Amino acid sequence: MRASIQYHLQISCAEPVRAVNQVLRLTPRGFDGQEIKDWRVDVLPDARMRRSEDAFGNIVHSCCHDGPLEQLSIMAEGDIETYDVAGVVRGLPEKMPLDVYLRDTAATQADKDLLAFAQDALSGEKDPLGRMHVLNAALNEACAFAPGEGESPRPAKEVFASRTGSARELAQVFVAAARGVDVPARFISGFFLGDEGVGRAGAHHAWAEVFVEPIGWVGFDPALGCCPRDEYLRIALGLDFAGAAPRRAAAFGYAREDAAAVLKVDVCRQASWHGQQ
Amino acid sequence: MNSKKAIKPMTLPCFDEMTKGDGAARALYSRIAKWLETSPPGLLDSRRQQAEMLFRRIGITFAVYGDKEAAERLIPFDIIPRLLGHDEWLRLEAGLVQRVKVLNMFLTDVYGAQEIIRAGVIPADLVFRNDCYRPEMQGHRAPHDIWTHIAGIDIVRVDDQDFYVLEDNCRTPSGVSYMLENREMMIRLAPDLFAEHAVMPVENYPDSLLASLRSVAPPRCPSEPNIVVLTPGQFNSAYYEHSFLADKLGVELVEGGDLTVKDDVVYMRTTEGPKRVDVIYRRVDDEFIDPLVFNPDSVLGAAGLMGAYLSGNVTLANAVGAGVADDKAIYTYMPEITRFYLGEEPKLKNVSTWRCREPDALKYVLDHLSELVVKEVNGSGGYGMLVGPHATKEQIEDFRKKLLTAPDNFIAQPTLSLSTCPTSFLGGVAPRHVDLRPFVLSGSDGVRVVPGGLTRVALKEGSLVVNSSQGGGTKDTWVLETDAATP
Repeated sequence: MRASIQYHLQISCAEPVRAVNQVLRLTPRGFDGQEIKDWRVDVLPDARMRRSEDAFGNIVHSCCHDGPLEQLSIMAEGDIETYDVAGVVRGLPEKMPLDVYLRDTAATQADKDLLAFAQDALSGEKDPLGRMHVLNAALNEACAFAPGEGESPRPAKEVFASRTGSARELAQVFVAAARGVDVPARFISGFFLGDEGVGRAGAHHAWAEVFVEPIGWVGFDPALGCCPRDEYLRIALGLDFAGAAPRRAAAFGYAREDAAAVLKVDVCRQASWHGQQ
Repeated sequence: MNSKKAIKPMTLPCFDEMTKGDGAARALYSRIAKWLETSPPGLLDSRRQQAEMLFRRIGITFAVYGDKEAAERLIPFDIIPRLLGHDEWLRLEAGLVQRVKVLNMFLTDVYGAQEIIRAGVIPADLVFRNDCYRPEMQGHRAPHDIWTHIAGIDIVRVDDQDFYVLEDNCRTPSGVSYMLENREMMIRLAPDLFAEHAVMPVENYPDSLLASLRSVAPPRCPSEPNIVVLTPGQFNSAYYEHSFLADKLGVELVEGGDLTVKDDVVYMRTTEGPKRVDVIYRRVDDEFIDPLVFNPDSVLGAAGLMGAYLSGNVTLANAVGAGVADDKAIYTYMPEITRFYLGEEPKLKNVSTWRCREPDALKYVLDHLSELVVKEVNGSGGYGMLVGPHATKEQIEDFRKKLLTAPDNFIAQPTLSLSTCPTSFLGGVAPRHVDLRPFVLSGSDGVRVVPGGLTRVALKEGSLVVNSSQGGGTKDTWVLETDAATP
């Protein structure tokens, strides 16, 4: 899929804040499944954007605003082309030792119930990739997908106990379950570009990736019960949502924030870049 | 504590640092022994009361977590100093320098090329799944490859030859204020005794610390770097020490709210406007230093601090993620780690340790719980540990359950018969078990060790737990310029 993407996040503070520091993970990296052309991230009011790369290989923008500040806009836009690679993630620099992806975080800790559920679901399947498909289908069936993201996702065990969650929450459940059965797993934040995504998932989407020998990293989306296709734009990875969050902010002078995100996807019907070259 | 008995032999046979097997004093302690003999009755008691009064007046207190009534407790101070001869110190010092060098090399390696893991010396999961490992630091080089600028190495003795490391502390070791205050107290309370011994000074510790911190300042900073001490605040158990050190160093004591980060540069608020900060001696744990990277609810650090740190505009001492080296499970590999990086034998010994993650070891530990000391891998301060010989049946069964549910979280060690030193009580003097925490400073210009350290003493008879949070006391540690006290 070839598309022009415009993402806009509008933040309104209930009261003016003195200063805000922000870290944004809103820049996708190219790999075999996606090509990125002309991507830029901007903020309003204007501020110096510093671009860096974190330890996981995510492209990070950070900026500081002096207040008083009531309104903040964050824009990310560019042209991309995605391909259906059946969820397999190749062509990314992998810097982190694999064992790191077996770490528990507070948000991705599996409790007894979730562990038992995973082990039970996997009991009949031996093939490593097949096991992850089974796990994804089982979680998709057991947990209802409730579109729309709250301020921060609840911890995996809580989400699993309630059997319902947002895309972020279900992705964390999948990560917790996979690590629980000793499969390296990570959280992925991104956009869903398909029609159903705009209506159902909202601007942000999230899924999980697991490391399966001998293929490597493979994506699974427990919310929609499939592997990422060309309707998925992969942006950042982390051990859990907090590590891959599109935006993290801290303000001097606390005030409640309201955030509204809009994603505009213009699908180009022309031949792909690949075809032109 | 109110033991009315005079000197009574310990139940366990152990090395007493003052006396030889036949009861005569070692040459090192000859003057101390004489002093104890000739002091008029009641002198030690009155000195101890004076010490307590002085400590209270200065306000050296610490808080015990989980104990409402002990929000400001005094650590008992023992008036009888603990002595080390010059030769003993030289051996210990060489061992400490080697140990800290290796700890820094290990940290540089695990956050960098991971040679030691690839060589199969240490299992990958032990490092990368460790709670104290910080993935955010992977691939980052700490300035000058120094991760633990201030290390506290806990040392115990079981004979007059070897020094054993009980524990490495690479994060924010505390206790150095007691080392300095105890010395002042001794000079004040026993000036004659002090004058009779050629004691090497510890008073230059703040200068050494300042020099080490200066040496790791970012390269682009002006000739006189702005150094601050970052404290979590007055409710932290070591707050007294934080303010004490800032005062001795002649630098500002700041809390998270005093710092701002703008465009990857850290500033502190002053009455004259924001002032750039170059080096932060931080006594705030990793998880709390930056809400944008770690715990998002933390107000103890500063938003953006990690960004400033990773871009090299400020140096944090100790480095973020240094805790992975002082983990008790990593500790068990220290002899192998030393050989791997230096090709040398470790000069300080490790206490032999059973890693409960290994099935054979676990079986042995479960069979011998009543003889062993079992420790939580990530625990500190004497919390979460079982001293088998002193535990009740209930406690042992409790630990058995814990071990069976999460064996990876525990290690076990033989109950060491720690060395003893004479310690004074109301109405008497008796040997009590001691350990020693020397402080090792690393800068770009080398490793510095101040001759001395904090001697902690288990005040309960027979007790092996010296932690101040568990009823331990402290002593002044005298490193002599000679091998023995001149008669």
